[in-house]
Amino acid sequence: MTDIAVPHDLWDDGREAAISVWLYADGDPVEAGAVIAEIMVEKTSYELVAPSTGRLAILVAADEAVAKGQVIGRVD
Amino acid sequence: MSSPEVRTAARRLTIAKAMSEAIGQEMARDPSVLVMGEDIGKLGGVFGTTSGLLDRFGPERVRDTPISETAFIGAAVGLAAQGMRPVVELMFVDFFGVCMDAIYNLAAKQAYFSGGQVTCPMVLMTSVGGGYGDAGQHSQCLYATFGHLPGMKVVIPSTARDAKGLMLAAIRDPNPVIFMFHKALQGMGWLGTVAGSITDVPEDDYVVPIGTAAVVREGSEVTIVALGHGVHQALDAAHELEREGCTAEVVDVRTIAPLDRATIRRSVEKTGRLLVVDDDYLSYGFGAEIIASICERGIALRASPARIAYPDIPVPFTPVMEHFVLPNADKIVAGVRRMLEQNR
Amino acid sequence: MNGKSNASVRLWMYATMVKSRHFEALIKPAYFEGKTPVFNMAKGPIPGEMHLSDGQEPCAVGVCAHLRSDDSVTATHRPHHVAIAKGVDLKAMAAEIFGKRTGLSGGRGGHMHLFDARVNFACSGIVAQGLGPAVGAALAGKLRGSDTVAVAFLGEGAANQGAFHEALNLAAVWRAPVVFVIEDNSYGISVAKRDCTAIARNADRAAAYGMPGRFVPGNDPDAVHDAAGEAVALARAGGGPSLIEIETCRLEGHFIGDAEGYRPAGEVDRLKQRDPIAAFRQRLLQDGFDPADLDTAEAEARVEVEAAFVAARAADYPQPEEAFDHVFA
Repeated sequence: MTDIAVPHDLWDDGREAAISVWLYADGDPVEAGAVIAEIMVEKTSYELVAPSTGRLAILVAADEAVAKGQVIGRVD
Repeated sequence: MSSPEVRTAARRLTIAKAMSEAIGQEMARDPSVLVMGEDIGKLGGVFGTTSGLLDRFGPERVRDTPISETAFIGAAVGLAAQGMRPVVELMFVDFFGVCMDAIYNLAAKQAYFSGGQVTCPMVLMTSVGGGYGDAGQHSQCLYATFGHLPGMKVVIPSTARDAKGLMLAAIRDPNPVIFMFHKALQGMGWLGTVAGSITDVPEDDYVVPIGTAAVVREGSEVTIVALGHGVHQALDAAHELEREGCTAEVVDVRTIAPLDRATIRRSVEKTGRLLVVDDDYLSYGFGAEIIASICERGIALRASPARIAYPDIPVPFTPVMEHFVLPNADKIVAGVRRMLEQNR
Repeated sequence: MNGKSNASVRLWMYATMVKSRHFEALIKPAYFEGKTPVFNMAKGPIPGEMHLSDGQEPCAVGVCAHLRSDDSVTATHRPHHVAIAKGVDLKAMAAEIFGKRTGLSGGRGGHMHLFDARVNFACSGIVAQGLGPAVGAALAGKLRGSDTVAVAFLGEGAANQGAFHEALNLAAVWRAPVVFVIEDNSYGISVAKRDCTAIARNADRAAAYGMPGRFVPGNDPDAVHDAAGEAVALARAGGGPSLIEIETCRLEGHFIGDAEGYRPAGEVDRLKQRDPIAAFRQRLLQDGFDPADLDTAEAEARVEVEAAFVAARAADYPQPEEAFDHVFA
């Protein structure tokens, strides 16, 4: 089981970020390296990849604000 | 088990990513392909259609243009006549007003006027659709406007998978292809995206043939014909209707011109009821064409055909007005229910 | 002429620039309501696109200082500063941007389609679309024997659009009393002017159409006022059209939500240090204006803007069925 965490170095301090879209649904199979979500930091979008192969568990829904390092999902 | 190229954990793309992937793959394969338009270089396209291409292929093949649509679309026709394959972006379909001559009188008539000596293998990709408050000059669809005029093919994918396949087909087609992408499906974080448009997309080379509609949901009580955003609304409506014991068949036309009338007719022959969903203006529109194509064949209908379309008014800015007039799943459900009440 | 207009006009220009900037300053947070944490353009009390005019105020006030309410102005997708300088009803303008019933067009147009027939102001979201209508409005005045003029505002990107070239040629052929004002803020969305325009000075294009062309550097309201005064006087006297190219700057993104990755690092900060409003205030003080007068003008401008926003928020939305009104007259 691997955590999917928002990278610490994705953006500068003091800016708000949120998950703009999950490309997979909770329970979907995902492959290591596949782009699984997009995070918007103010006006810029960043891709988040699956850290391992397995089944996706979504812990934080789209449109929710996220912090650096926050665990937003898991791959089981 | 599914066919070899569709693995269980295939990667998911947005329509924007699928489009830029298709263009990039084709540019790598075929040196005659080039891309141009406003903000398609450094920015990667306002709607993400060309992201990464400038870095990969350089400014000779990926060109940011001045705000000169007539000139660069005209130039694309000239490039195409010389055997190149330009992919051109018209940022919003609403802007066609400033350059329509180059499209419908020039590009679309090259093969005809030259008796086949000269072709125009050009793709004109353009954003369509509203529902996010961009008002009357940035929210239009114009499916019928383009579908009506001879000499050009017009496609509109509803999923990322179809987007890549249609783009590869479009670039390879020797004819001008208008590739419409709906803003509600594109995958831009700042626009809001219908989840169903994000799908598995094979990495390899594959084509969705232009001129083929797809039955995306099978049913026997009614045929709902739709395109773009309307396909997803129709699927939502079908899901709702199934709970009431009505199975709706949903047909995604994918190509506006040439229209796959055969697939639509087969479906309506099966169900006997026809409802068309169209977020373009009602009169003289896509819905009218579908209904005429059925009625003129004398296909037996259990109910009067219907269209859920955008009315004949400019797109209003304020959301209470805009959302009041836009098609949506509830209107589709209500429309089908009305149809079921008619018993012929 | 030493390029300085009389004191009351300069005070009006200052107050109007402040009013304009304050309007944008209230629009921005209102626009962001409902659009956090995810910036979804469809959400909030002001949906859709928003193109702010911060930095371009000198272009609007320097020109509109010479205009009467019966002179016509057409503007672009970035219209607020021009509308305010032209005297558009501020309450109705704010209400229109909020999509309310009391808006200039009852919510049908929104921020890019502001019309105020009382002061002959219109704007459009299609690049260069306003040029032809300005030529026509100018001709109407001429045919009626009045001395009204028309002004078309456009961006430097629009100078590459076919409609620009047609309108200038036609204006010259008709000797129409129209002034074309290019607000050169260096960018057409992400594309820099130097990358898409064949010549360095759009003012030089005027010669191709048989009319005077003047470049105004420095984003300076006094200099704009001087150039515009000449062009408007020429038009009113029956001398035909002119082209003015103003060097200005865009302090915000093309639209709110634009990440502006195409602008070199530090560029916006450098431009903000040369904010035209602060610079003009400095100059007015140096010229002997009483700071209390400037403060009063500023305070009045803010009060007017704030009242407009309060009224806009309080106003009702239209009934949805009203979408069908005014399709035809």
